[in-house]
Amino acid sequence: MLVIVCPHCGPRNSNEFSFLGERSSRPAVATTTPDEWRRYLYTKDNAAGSQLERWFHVSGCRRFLDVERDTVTNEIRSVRDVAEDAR
Amino acid sequence: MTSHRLPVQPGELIDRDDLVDFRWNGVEHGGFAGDTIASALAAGGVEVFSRSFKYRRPRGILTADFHDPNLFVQVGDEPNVRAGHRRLAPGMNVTAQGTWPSLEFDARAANRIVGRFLSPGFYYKTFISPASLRSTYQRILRRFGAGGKIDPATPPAHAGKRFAHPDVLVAGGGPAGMAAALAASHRGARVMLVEENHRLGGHLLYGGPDAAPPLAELCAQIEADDAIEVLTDSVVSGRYDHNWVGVVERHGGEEHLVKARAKCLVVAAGKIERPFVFAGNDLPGVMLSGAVSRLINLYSVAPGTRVVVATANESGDAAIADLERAGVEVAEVADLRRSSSQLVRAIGKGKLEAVELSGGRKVEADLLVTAVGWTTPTSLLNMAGDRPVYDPAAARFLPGDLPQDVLAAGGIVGDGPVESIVEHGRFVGFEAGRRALTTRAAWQRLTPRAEPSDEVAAESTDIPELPAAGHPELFAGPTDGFVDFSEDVKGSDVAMAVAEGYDSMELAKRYTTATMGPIQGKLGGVNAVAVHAAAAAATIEATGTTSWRPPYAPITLGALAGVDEDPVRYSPMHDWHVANGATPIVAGQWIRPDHYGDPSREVLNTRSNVGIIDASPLGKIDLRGRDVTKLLDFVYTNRWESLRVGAVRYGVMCAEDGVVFDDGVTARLEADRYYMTTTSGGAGRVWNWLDEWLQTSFPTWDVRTTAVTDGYAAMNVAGPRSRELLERVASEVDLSAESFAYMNGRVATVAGVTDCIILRIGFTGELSYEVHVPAGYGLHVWQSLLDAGSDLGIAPFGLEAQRIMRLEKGHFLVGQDTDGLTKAHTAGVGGLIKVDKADFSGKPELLWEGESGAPRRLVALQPVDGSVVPPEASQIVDSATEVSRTIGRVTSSRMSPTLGRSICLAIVDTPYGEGGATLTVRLPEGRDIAATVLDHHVHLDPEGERLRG
Amino acid sequence: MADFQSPITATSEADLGSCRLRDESHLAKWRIWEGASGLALGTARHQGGSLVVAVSPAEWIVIGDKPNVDDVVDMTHVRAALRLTGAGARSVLERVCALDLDDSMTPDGAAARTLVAGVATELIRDDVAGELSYLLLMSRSFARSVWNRLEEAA
Ligand SMILES: [Zn+2]
Repeated sequence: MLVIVCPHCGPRNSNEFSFLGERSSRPAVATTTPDEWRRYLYTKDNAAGSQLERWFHVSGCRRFLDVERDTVTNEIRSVRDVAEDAR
Repeated sequence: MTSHRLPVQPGELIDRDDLVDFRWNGVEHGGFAGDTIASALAAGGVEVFSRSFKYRRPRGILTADFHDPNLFVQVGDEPNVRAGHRRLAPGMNVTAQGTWPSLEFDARAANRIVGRFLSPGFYYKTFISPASLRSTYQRILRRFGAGGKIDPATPPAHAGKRFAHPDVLVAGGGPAGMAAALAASHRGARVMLVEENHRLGGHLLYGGPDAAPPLAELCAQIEADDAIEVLTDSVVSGRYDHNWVGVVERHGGEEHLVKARAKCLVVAAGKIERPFVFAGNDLPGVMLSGAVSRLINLYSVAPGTRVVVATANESGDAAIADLERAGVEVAEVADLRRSSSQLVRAIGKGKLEAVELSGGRKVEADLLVTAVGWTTPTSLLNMAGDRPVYDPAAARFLPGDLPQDVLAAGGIVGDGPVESIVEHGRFVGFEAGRRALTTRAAWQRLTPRAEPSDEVAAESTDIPELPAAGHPELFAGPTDGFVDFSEDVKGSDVAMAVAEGYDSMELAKRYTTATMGPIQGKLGGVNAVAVHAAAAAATIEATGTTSWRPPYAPITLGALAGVDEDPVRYSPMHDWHVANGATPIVAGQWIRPDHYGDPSREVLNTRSNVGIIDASPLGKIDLRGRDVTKLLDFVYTNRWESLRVGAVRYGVMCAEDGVVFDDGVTARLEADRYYMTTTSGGAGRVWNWLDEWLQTSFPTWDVRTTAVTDGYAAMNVAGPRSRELLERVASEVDLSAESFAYMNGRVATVAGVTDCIILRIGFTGELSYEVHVPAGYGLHVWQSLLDAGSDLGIAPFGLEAQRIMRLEKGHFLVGQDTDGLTKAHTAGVGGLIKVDKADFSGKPELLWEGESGAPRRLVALQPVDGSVVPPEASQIVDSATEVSRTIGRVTSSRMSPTLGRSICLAIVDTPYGEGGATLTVRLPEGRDIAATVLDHHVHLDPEGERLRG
Repeated sequence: MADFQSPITATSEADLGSCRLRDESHLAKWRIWEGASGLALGTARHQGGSLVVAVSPAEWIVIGDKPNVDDVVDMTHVRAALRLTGAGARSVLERVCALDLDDSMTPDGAAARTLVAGVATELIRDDVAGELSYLLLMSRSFARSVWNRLEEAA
């Protein structure tokens, strides 16, 4: 059980969150190709090391978060609200 | 039987005034309160406690504590009780486990003769071929099982868990752990101190008179310290990511799990004495020095009458002093620190009779005590990522590099007199306290609800070295003996594994099963490594230890399972359903009425009169803001900007891969206020999904979402007389067909309850109204509708009747008629996919599916013989070809009470799905039946006249 | 109008030995997105006759009188309210909730949304006349399960 320090709620057990996978960016719908779209849907980096992920504090503040996690050590380097990232 | 009980010993744990009667293999025995099962039996002269796992050899006391591999017994219906640890209780019915026909004479001991069957890797080699004998092998192996018996009739025990948040968690309540706990507490930390035994003190408990004063002082200080929570008879079972630590609290046979988030973990697990590998090392009467000291000092039991001691350290020397004090005749001391001195073998038939020492000299004895060194229980450190390092000078593994939030203290690190161990524990505890408080302060700062935190001194304390004392490398003698007592693995077995090519310790472990028994290598792990290294002509350093994994000690399944965590959701009308004979079904987390006796009658009544169903689990989301229409346009495949206030529209949601994700209707109640309904199972998922799009992609949109599923009791009033019924109870709403048409929604008062939402929709295909009532008044409205409709023939219907009626109407259920690959065109809702919209979830995939044509399609299917109801998931096959090919499957299937025939929905490959086509459905029993494809999805009233009337 | 029906129909109060459990689901509850911006996240404050709770950014739950703002969602029927009061309340809660309830982390006036007995719950430390008390708001349909779990835990 990891500790994720939510920027709004503080340190919480990871079972309060849902894991939504690696961060990915959505191609432009008007111009996308099947190759590009399916890379967005299905192709993951699956890095051994630092990875940018999306988590959702579903049983807490209900905010979507960008989490930088080391997939080898489970060290969590940063947690930011997506709204903050968008700025 | 003679008593082996000694006169009063200074530190004894037994209460001689409190006699405890119990039974051992059917015979009455007596002991004292404070005795373990084993000490009471040993005092009564019992020497054999169990039979070994493979060879059924008689086994006696080896360590006399929790980790004794020979002391597994059955207590009542509780198997695998550790008799060296479990305290005696009045009336205990203790039996030896897995022995047949009796402990004294085990018929299977004969398999010593067929020992070749049980050579290393016997699981892999012996029982594989011929295949025809495998079931015979299984039967034989089962009889060999050494475990106890469980009574399947015993009711399941659900043991509650608890959560804890210690700043410092100390694993091990010996002198180092106690000192660490005290120092951490003095620093201001909240401490949890976990000790495996029933009392704090570790080896000081049985350390003789000299150990008593320092122990008493530590105990008094701990007792006086409110910030230290002491858990005895408990064990730290595992360390997981971010110092998530499992602690098992034992209360006799009942166990509870504590899930602790420790800011700092101090491992003060001490040292475990290891056995020596030599012939006869498992004979009853061969014990480790610690066992002797425990039996004499804690339980006042004489472990023998004439003893040979083979010692290489102060623990053996202490045992000699204990034995002499107890009046046991010390026949010989073999000082293994001198190279001239050797322990060759133990001799005896069923029990020790003599000991062979160097030069072939034999000494008669009924007790042989060995003191040859230590295994370090580095398990928790290993789970924290540490790779322990072998120190040849100390002849044991020592901690390597530890993460910041884990520290090791005391005997696991090094050796010394009590004062040095306590001093080390104190420094470690002080530093652990600092690290924990630093984390606590950081967490308080990062937690808005918390109190402001004090600054914590950042300076770390240098922990003084606690060097490991020199010790000769003594693992195995000149003869072959047991490396693993639990699994009956000998040194020669490990050597054979090496000879067969298992040159990695991790592989040899699995092949021989050494260290894989209930004791998990805590006693003999190093011996296995040493024997493996010797056989492979490698060093112990290079061979390394095997990985330790949780749990450190076995946990009962009841403790792991805890109580049933799955919460059930109740509708406001639940108690009414129970009182009115509903058969419940759990759908999603909801407990719902499946039917009230006869679903067919419920269907017919609804179709001819009026029915009412509790639809409260339906997902409901309140949407507000100027940009709700934009959101609806994005998450549904169809168009929403034209929806008038007061109107309701159906929509399908698709994920980005174009697969149908949910469906439902949304009503526009006010200009900027919408009311969305989802499937019952999809309610949470859809709400999360809306918020995800809003937060991650459209943060500037003015939309607020609130899940209000639980806020409304929903009831669908359906049937030709539903309007008439509703007119009797609803007010402030015109229900006439002209002003409240199909696919409209109104806010109204029902049975006096304001703010109800009425949606005129029709999942059942009848004239019907979905009435959403503030939940606290749900039962009142439900009852009012039933009362008002008694002369209209109103009757409740359940989930099954609703499923039949929706199937008669050909409505698909997401997740029933669609699966994780069903895109929207396949589901037959192509007309709702507006690819001319600039964007919506899943648009590219749906655009492409539309262009290329869906490979499969959902169709309505009717068996030609209407009396046959093909089970759901029946395959649809093309049997025209030589080898029949699956071309689809039945997704929903029921007998329609309205039509008097079977009706289905099915997914088939597109070319087979034309209306009028006849398909072959293969029933599970193998019989094929013919079924006709309809040219639309609807079995009943395709024009929808009932619905719109 | 009809009487408000409790989600815990059998009883509205239970003596758990070291603490007391009471159903307060009838309390009016509201969700708002403006009008309480002075309240820090993770806290709850009594204001007039209402308790204002902040557990998520830029939104508040108000227990009590209907707030006087444009956009209000009535949560009275959506959320049940259970109150656990008494010296033993914390140790009961610690059997079903992983949140650190120590005074340093969850003092009086602290609020959090977290899992209680596996159910997303607004947990508010709201001592009553100096006596330890927690107010728990959860989806109404779960209230009976949570109630039963709290009784078991005690
Ligand atoms: Zn949060």
